[in-house]
Amino acid sequence: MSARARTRRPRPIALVAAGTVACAAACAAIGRAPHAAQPGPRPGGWLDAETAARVARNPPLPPVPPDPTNRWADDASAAHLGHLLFFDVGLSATQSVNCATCHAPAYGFSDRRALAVGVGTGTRHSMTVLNAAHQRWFTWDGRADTLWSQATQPFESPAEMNTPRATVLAHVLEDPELLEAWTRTFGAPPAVATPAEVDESFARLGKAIAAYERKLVTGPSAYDRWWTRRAAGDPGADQELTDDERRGLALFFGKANCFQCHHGPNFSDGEFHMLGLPEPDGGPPRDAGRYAVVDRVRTDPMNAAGPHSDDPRGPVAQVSASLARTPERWGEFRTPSLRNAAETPPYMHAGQFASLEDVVRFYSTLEGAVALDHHRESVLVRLDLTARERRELVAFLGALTGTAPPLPWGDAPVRRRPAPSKGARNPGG
Amino acid sequence: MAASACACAGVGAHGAPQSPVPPRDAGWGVHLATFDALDDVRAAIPAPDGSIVAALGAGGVVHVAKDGARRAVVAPWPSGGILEAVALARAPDGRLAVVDRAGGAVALIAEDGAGVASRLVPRTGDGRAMRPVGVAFDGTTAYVADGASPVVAACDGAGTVIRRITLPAPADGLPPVLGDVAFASGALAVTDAANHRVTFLSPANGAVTASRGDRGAFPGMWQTPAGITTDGTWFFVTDRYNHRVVRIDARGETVDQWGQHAVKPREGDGRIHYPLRAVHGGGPAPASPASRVAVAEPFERRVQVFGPNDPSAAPAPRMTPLPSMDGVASHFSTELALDGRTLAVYEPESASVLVFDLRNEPPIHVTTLGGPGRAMGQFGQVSAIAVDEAANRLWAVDPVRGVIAEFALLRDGRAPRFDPFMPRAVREASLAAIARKAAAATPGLPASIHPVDLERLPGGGFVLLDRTGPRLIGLDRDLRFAWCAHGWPGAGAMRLPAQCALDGAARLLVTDAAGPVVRAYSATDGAFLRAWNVPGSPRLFGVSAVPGGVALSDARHDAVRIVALGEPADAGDLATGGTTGSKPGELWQPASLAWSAADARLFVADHGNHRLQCFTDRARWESSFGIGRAWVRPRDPGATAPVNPPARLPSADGAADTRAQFPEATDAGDGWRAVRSNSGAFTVRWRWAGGAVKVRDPFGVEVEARTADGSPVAASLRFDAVMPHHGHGMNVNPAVEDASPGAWRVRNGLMHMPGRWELHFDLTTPDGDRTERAQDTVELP
Repeated sequence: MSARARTRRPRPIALVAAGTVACAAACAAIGRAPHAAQPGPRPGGWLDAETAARVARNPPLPPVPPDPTNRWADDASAAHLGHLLFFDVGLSATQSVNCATCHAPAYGFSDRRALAVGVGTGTRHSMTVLNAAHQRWFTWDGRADTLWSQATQPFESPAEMNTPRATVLAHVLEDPELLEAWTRTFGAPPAVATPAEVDESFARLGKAIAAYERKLVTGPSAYDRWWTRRAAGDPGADQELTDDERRGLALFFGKANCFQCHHGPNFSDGEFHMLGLPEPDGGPPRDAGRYAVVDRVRTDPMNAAGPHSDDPRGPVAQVSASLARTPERWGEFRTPSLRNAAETPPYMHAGQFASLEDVVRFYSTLEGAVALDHHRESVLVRLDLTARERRELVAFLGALTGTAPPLPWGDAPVRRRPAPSKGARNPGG
Repeated sequence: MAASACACAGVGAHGAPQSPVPPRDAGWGVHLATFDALDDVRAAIPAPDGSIVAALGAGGVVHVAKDGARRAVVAPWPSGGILEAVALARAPDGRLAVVDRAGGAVALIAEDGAGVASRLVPRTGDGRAMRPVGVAFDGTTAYVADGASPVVAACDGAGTVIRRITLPAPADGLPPVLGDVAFASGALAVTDAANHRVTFLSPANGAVTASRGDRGAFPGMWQTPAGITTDGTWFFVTDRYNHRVVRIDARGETVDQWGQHAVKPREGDGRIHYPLRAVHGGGPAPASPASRVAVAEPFERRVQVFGPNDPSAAPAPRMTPLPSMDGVASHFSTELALDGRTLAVYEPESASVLVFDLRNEPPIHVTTLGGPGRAMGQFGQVSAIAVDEAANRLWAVDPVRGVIAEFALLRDGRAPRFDPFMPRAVREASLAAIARKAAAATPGLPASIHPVDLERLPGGGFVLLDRTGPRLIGLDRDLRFAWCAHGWPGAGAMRLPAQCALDGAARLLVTDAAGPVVRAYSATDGAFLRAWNVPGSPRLFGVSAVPGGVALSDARHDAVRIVALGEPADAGDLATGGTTGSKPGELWQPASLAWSAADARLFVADHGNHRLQCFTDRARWESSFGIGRAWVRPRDPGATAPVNPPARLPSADGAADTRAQFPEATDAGDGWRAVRSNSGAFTVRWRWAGGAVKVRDPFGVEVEARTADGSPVAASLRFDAVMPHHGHGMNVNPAVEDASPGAWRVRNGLMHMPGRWELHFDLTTPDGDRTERAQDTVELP
């Protein structure tokens, strides 16, 4: 096991909090009062003290945290292999679907559809892969506890790629470029002699894809530039945001309460919540979300506690092994990151809302929200924002759009020889 | 149920596992008819001619024609011979089977009013009586569900048990409590009210073929599934506290639902309120236009009949969207207790006990005990409450979790206001331990207790009023079995005991739902003393001593009666208050009541109106309140309409301060914290296993427990962390390992939100009979 497995816990929010606490502790240790300079914009002007304190806890993204469950997470060869795999249609039954079908670079690594369409039509909206390495759980219901484990799931899913793992690995063996990249990463061709070897090779395939996905981080957004300049005391910091964006920021961290769930550098608490969103067809609620997968996460052989994890007793594994399925989990979905949200319509787990305006209007009016009985108080409170306030909030969300991931990662790889295909379906190219 | 006309077409042969789901139809739930004024109705079976036959508890069985004309099929108890008619089914020979729960039998009757023709009296494996709650037929085999143990007894025509089918408890679940049974196409279906499940079993070997459910309102979830019935193809489940009937297939998958939860009292026309049982009748189905389901709603004293949608119509999606209301409205049940200025009332839909402080007008809801769950301090269902304010203790009897739970209140001397951190779960005593001793004293009776009331005695002990038997069970101050009284002859024989209360002469008064009688027993050994008739009140419920008399709630006539229990055999009328209705001062099925000497008011659980009402000791209405708007009698004697009480800031005058009873945890060095258990019996030391804990990071805890003399506590530990003000705990199940006697190690806890968390260290004795809690608080930034 590599030294990486023994690094400290890869939790960006905890790192930030730890940094803040350490700073205050250090100040106290040397006899100075903990100064107002937690890193972050200071109060004053259009930000009151309370809002400024919240903003301070939402800095730009730190470096991607380590993933001890994947020993190849930061391996360059693995990332190259994963890059090839991500865009290779040969891994699907129809030879026409790859990861980029639903996670297309031109569409913010999503697909502009309400429901994903791979080999068949799915039941959920495609989440973006951008900044996924900063997340704690993966997919809308969190059925994968690691990035590499999620990467293995679409292959065998009937609506996504509908290909058994043995066939996927056979394709790797048959494609010279893939085989070369594989061997360079793992030291030998994929072992497929027994079911156990197939499972381990399949897990490694996921780890390579995860290594690639860890490269898909966005560059600074207008918000990040503003935050950094303001934290440095730059008087011109506010120029990074338009008036609407600034007012939207104040709403986001103030009376609109968005920060309650969308907080932290990745603008997500990483947790699961039930909002009472309407079903797309308006019928009774049907998608059980987190509730339906908790047992599966606990017993999944591909989870962080399983035989293919490189940190089977680490913190992620501990949580996965002890998850509790309680009735309150019904209908809960993961808080998605809001970074680059303006690039990835439609929104919510089944693409119920076509635009950010629709999203903000839902939170403001709660119109159409499902309440199955009047004894349960909703997590959400009606905001009754004015049209102008809703516009400002949408503007602020646009200020969270960061620059695209660097090349070569941010686009399809250049292949030595195009993989055989029946016609790739990559939206946007 | 049309067992003779086999409705198996396309579904699979008898005895075989269920084949795939039949094609969907146009849906169910068209409201066809309402039958009102059926007091204490428990079940009704519809007939093709639009009539119903209804079971009315101790009120017998009646036939109600489509035009409302009634005739008795079985006269009320005692003349009809059925003590508690709770369920109905069609036997294969066309006779009506009536389940007599308190009578321990299934009575077979002819509908021409000739009365009970025969009885099936199945016994358990050890020769005890059953407490039947439902019956289903497969040819001549009758499947009788036992409400006292998770067993369905297959009986022949003579009532001899030929096979027993046991419903297994789910992993990490509670012992099942059966609600009802149905049989169709080779599958036995039962509802489990304790685990909120519907389970399908093979009648041949008891193998579970499908089992679905959890507590909730979403598809596939239930809140106390009570009845289950079938048209031979589909199964209809009465989802009691979700106020709906749900149609499921033989795999337990939801097909559709109907009910439109009634929001206003007495709202009907297809809207359902606390349905208890649905029974199928009419055509043999699946698509017979005469197919009917009758839904009994005792809460509304009515039966509503529903049918299938017109097949030519497009199926409509069925759900019960409701306007969300600000805050949670009260839905008080029948149970209420008070002492001094502390009042507690049970709310079944949230499985919690609400505590009110009576020093304010209207009384302030200061805290909530429990909430649904299986852990200490949570409730499956509360059937009795007691309060002792001077001792700072409340008790709740929970027959589903099988405990008597003891709580204390941490009060800080300030003016009363809502404080979610006030409750302290002190200890829990196992009902099974009490039941074992009671069962040994009363062979032949069902082995489990069916507690309906608990009375705290001045000496510190208790009396439990038990419908099994019925019995009176005396407990000592440690909630241990002390004595048991049962089988009084003649006038002393209680039948369907409802409530009990001590009167001024230290006698235990017991009301009976089976007749207009109040009986008095000794509170020290349960000996029968005497009885009084209460003419005109055939269904009594609550009882409480008031100055110069006794207050009774008349659940049949929606009234409060103040009577004198003296020498004459008939109780003497002193006053009557309340009339049928929902306005302030009106009552709908008044239930438990209690006199507050400190307040000089009689508090009545106005169960059918979801509120509490106050009367004087001569039954004059004074005020009403719940969670929401309160009403009081206007001060101006010329005014007639009730008014809202004048706004008044709650005062700290007379506020209790009990903080000294619960010393805070202390720093014990080296990261350890020491805290006394809530009962004071032992001390717990604990510390984080790996240094300070951050939000969302898994953590471990080292725990030790010692008695006052320093000996390690021999017990098993359950650890939990909860946020009382949010109403939730952790999303993980931490693992606990024994480290050494009196020491444990907890792994894999995780607190997923910042804020204030309560840590619970619950220690259970090796015999499982007693659990006690120590607790501490942490703040996660």
